[in-house]
Amino acid sequence: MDKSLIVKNLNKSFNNLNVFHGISFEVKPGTIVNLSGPNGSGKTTLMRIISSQILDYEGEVAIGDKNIIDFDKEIFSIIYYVAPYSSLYEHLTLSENINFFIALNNLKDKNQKNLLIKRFKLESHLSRKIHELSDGTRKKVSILILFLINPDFCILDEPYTYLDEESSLVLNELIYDYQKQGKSFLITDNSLASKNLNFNGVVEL
Amino acid sequence: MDSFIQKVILIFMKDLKTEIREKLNVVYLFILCPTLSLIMFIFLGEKSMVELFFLTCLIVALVANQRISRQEISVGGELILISAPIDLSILCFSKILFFIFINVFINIIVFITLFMLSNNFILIDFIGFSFLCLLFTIGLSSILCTFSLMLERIKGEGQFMFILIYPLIVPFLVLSYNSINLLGLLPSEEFFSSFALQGLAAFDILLLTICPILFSYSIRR
Repeated sequence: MDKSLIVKNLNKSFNNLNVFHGISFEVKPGTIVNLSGPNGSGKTTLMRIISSQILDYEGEVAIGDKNIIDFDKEIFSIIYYVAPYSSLYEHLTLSENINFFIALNNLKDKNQKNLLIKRFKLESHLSRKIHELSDGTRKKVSILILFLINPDFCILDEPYTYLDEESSLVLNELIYDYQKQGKSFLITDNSLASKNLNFNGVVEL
Repeated sequence: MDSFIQKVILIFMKDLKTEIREKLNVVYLFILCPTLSLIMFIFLGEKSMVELFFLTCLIVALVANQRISRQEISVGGELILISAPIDLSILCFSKILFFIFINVFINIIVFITLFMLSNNFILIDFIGFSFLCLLFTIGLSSILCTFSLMLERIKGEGQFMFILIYPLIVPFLVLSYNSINLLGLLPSEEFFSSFALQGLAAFDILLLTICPILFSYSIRR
């Protein structure tokens, strides 16, 4: 993937209340972009539009010259959104959740899975159910699944929330590793934990 | 096609594994089914046990399907698989299959309870009854499962999209009602060749095909 993510004149309103208006920016391959703005400025809404979870908006979101609406379901392998809350099956174990998403996304690289589990120090939690885990550990699992899927554009909504300092550093290292492979990141962070991350650009809402 | 079946099996097995281990629905239904059967029996009496059976199953299914759909919703109120690179009809289809499985359990519990409560619940045509139960369960599961999954994700006016399958739901209900009435009246062979039962089977196939497509369309578009 050597095409940029292009957002052009994006408008979004809920019940005639304008969330944002005329947003335009570009995320080039292999870059890390910070999406910043005060609470309620529409950061999450923008991220969900980019990741095809919200479909009623004005303007254009494209990869290269192809609008994301024209992609079929494969768009979810190209752009992946990690929500600030847990999007895992609460009654499955950590290991079962990871294996489920691996199977669902037709992933075959088992080494990568083991490597990421080790980096996030999740070995001792593998047989525990998600609802028994702390918010920080759940967050690590969500991020781990993102890196396993390995999309071209990673949309991270408050990824550092609940993460301890060590895990935040691991996340930063992973972001740099994947950036070197040409992957792009769009990140929001109100916790300032990302201050050590070298952003290539900032989008202000 | 292989991929479709693999993904359906994957999601179905995930639900089955959770159910077997956690018993999230089975224990709940084990209490709800006899309770509701008893209430219905007290209020409606034992004049028409077959109708009572189907009505009780319908009410229990209405409650149960909401619980099953909620398992697909994340803490943030979104579908967990909203970002999965799969057609969402796969999710809906596997949930329908799982709901059929749960509905069979409901049917068995309600049948046993009503059988114990009444001296009148004698089935002349048990094979016909079982077949009708299966057809009723398939159609009901398709309708309720799609509706509850849509309700979880789509807010406000979007829910009216469900009206699109009303032309399938109404004949399904009418044919179910007619088939229930014919059961016991007709000999087994005539019952199986009756228009109502064959029509019910045809509408089951239609519902099983159209409902997942409608769900996928309503979410992604």
